[in-house]
Amino acid sequence: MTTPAAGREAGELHVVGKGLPKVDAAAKVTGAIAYADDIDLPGMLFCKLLRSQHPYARIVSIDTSAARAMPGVVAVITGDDLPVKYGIMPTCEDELALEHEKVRFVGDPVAAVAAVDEETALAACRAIEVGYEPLEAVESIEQALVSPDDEPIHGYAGPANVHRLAALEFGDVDAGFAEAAHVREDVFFFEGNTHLPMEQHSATAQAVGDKVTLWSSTQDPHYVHRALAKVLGLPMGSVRVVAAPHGGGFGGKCDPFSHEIAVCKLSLMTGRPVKCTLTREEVFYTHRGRHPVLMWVRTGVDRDGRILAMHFRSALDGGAYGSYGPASTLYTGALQTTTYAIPAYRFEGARVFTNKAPCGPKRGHGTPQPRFALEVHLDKLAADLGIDPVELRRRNYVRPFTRTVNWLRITSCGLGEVTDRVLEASGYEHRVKRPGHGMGFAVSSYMCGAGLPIYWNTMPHSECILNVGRGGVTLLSGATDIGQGSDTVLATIAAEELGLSPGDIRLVTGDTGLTPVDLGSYSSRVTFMAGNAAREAAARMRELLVRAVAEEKGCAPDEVAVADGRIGLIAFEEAAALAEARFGALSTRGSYTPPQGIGGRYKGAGVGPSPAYSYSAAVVDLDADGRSGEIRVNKVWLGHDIGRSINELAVRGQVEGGVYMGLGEVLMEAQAYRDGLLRQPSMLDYKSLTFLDMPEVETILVETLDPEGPYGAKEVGQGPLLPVIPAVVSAVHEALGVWVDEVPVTPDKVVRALDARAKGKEPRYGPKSFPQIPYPPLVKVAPPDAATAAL
Amino acid sequence: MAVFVPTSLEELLTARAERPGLDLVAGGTDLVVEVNFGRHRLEDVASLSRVPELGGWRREGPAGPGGHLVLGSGLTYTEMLDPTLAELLPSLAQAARTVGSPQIRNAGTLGGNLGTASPAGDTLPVLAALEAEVLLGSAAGTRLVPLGEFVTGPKRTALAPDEVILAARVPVARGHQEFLKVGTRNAMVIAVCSVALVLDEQARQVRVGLGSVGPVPIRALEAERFAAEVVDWSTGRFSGGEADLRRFGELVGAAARPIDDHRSIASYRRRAVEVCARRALERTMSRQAA
Amino acid sequence: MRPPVRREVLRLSVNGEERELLVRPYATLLEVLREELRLTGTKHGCELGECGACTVLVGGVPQLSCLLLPAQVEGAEVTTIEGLADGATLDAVQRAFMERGGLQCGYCTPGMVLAARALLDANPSPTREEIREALAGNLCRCTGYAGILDAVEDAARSGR
Repeated sequence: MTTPAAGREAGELHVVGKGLPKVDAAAKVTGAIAYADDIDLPGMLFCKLLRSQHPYARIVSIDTSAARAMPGVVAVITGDDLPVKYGIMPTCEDELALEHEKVRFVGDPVAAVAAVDEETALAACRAIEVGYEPLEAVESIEQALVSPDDEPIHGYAGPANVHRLAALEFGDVDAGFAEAAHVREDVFFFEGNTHLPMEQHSATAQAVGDKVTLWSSTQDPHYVHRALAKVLGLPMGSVRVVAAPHGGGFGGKCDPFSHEIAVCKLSLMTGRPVKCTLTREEVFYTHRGRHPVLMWVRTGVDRDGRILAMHFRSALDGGAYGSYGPASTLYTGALQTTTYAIPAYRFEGARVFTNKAPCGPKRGHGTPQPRFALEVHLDKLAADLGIDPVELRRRNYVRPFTRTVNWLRITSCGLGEVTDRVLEASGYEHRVKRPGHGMGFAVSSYMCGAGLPIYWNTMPHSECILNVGRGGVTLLSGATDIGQGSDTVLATIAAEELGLSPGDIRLVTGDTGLTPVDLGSYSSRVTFMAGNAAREAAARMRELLVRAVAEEKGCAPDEVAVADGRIGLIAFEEAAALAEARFGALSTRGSYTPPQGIGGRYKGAGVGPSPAYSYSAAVVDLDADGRSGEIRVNKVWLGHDIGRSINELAVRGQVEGGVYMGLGEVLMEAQAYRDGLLRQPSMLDYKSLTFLDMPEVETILVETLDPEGPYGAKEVGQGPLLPVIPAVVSAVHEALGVWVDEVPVTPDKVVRALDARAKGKEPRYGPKSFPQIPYPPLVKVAPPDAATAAL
Repeated sequence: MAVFVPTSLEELLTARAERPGLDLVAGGTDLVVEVNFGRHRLEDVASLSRVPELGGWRREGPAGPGGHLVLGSGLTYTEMLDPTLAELLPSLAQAARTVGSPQIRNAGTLGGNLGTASPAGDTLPVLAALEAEVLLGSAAGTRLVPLGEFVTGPKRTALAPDEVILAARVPVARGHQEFLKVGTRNAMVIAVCSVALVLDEQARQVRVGLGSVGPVPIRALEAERFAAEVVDWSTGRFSGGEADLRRFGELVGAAARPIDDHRSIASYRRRAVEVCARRALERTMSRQAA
Repeated sequence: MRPPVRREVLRLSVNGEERELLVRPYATLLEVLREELRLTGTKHGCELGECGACTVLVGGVPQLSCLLLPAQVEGAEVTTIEGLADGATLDAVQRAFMERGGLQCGYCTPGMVLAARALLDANPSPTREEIREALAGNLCRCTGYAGILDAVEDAARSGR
């Protein structure tokens, strides 16, 4: 069965699009909701991990005898107890829950203790003696490109410490450059940063016999489930993973983690529940955050600023492990084409291993860095040509229902409209320029879920089961509410179909033992994918209820209206009783699998395709001090093509939160290293915006009703972060006349750019050059022909 | 270990005499952080929060110049913002406003800031510019130590193991005061640098204290002498121009001894302290002129 | 071998209830609330006074429970998020947070709600700037603070 396309007009919708309170709001304002660390099971033990204090060292010995002898210590495990490697991507399963051969970053776990309390567990960790033989640490991209004196960080990659290389060409790039009236090259650097969820990761395992249940603060219980079964050597059916109510993820809780595996193993060994809650410092080491990326971009345009060819190179500092790295690498090249019609495009990407906390996905996964580079590059290109930067962009905007040069299918696209709306609201085009004040503009695009799963399979990406019975309406979905409001979205969709209120829907979510699969809360996929699955399940239930009432009343099904708690003229509960009497147990299901053919067929084509793309445009207004380099953002206007809001309050919250996080990244956030050590493993020194740093945000929602989104909805969790970063950089340039081509744009960098100008040098701060990288020969992909390109 | 909660100064000083080095906790915003971070293990600890003699502030001697203000070591940052005190010591109030967050200001105290003696302690450059003395007490008696002698190094003080910080004693000065701080955000921020500027019309002095640009709070004496010469003391007006402001900034920058650390780099600290100093003098003079 | 930990008898008044507890003397108030009293609505975000998640009211004043030794609050009334509602009737601040999108993941919410309540008790009609000042010690990573600001303004308008 297929669900109707974008669906009914707004006027016909009863709960979709309203700004109702989130379904879990009451539990959250009263403190009643139990997050992972609030779980307390009888007889529970507490686990602590012993972590490496060396960035890179061979382990020569581990002596746990003193720890084992301590009163209150129940079990101690090391890498010998968990020898199976795992990793989120099948192509780089390079992690051990506890390392026993070598450690690759400060914070790499080597042993785990279960004890009667945390203090004892911690004391026991300190009593474990590990003999290390330090190796020369790799601290930078440049260093990783050179063959090390010691062994490479991992044996499976290379050359040197290169993890992954990619080289793709779509169309004839050389011909495009040859034809260009103007060609420009720029180099940019985006420093790494981290998610900083308010909640530290926490996991509790309870084993009974050879079966184990894990409650964890995770964004994707399904992938944790797979990793646990693999590492513990148990059938999937013996492992159950429950996503606990979640205190913030932003991509940081998307990998299977050591502490999750360790508590399961310890619980299986001791027969007692075991909990491990990370300290804030450990959260910084666990990381999997934004990759530091060095970028080089070269673009050729015609006299009118139309892009003829683009060549984009990236080098990602991946840290110590693979994580999502291969995908992260390709994402730095994939979405340039979803905002601009680039007729010929070459992308070369590389990810290297260094001895730092591993990087992974953070809000916008792999795309904020190239978006920053691309947008600032276009500003400079516009200045070269004397064309207004907004106009230059407009001349290159992608059109709806087309296919990009790298074969991505574009459906609904509100790029032009979000541009018009933010320009109008902000008065950008009528601004009066004055020193120390600047406004900047940028656009972006993001996916509504990855078109392909992380491991190859042809099963649905999201499934829902809807039960109606004497206990009410229950929706079962594997989706995980990480605060973004997916529970509210699913309840709203089910309620809309059934003529109920969201509060009438009981939700069972994120439980691999009870709920059908959902791949997880990443890639902005839940509203689109789980939403479609929920809608299908609920529409099927609606059909059953309507049929039962129509048969009872002797009327045609299309005469039975569903709204306001009634099916036709009778109350929902009564209709449910009629249907149950007729059909037996009332259970319907819905599934969502992204359509085929939304991407290309080349190697690397798995990253980028999505059933739809959201579009955002930002204008930033700021003041910048020409002496101290301090920046004060006054206001941000953010226009977002949401397709359709399922819950407007939640959508606005996601926009505001995205703007906030983008501002944090461009102004101050940095997971940076000094002398090989993480500079700031605390919330005081890892700076994020406080209430006093956050400007007013004006959110403008544009509804383009995507043909495949549920009710036309698209994503909002990640897209609105993206244009904020380049818009700030652009505004700083307007205010002070200097370019800071490195994020974050901290006052000291602004001052150095000002000093450079004062000395008559290029008024810029940023990387000088891009390193020589041994990219492989280009894989040349023919772009779609004209007939295919116009959908 | 045990937590003592003495309710009089005598009780506190006796406990400290009996167990030299006994940990003292007031707001806990430094000590308990160290404990939670695992860098300090508490043995016995005395809470200062119920010792009435340490709280509040009072005047000593004449109300105007020649008199003193005695600020109890238990004075919280929130209490420094009290309008009566803020009028007398506006730079201290400005510094207090930049400390941490409302919760930290409700808990943290002047005595804690002195006792911790962090190079980034926000009240320290103010106390330096005010020429404060620190009143220390023990079972044996009390002593007054100038701030510059009390803070002996980064996180090091002249406090003896049997002593307790009782108060800061500050001479009353007539004239404008400024406190400026550069940090990386607007709340819960440790200073990248800070500048306190105190105009003392009676003594015809401009006094400048610097924070976070050296191991201890620094007085920019050269800059002070220069500034005193460009003030027309008969009118209290600034008689200099742009070049003088720049020179003042440079002299303050020259007095700074900044380092590179995980929060900033030395060259930016020097730049920022120059900008702050210049801005402080500009503001002072525009207020005086008004 | 570590010496056995002595414990102290502690008398606390939390959410209007007098409690007598035997605790490790160096446990923080946060640990006592969460682990001894099982009042898990008070959250830990940093354990170092940097995030505001552990905010409770001591005598109506917002304090960080992670930095307080429980002995320091003996004799004072401690209010946690669990004690804010009047029975089943939510406080105006709680209602406003629900209605205006003042929360997403909800982890900072207890501390944020209590800090806002204390502000409105001291200043029933704060400006937006005063709200920002009062809540500057409470970090939120989800909302961008906008929904919270709107909620506190709403709560101020509606009164208690």
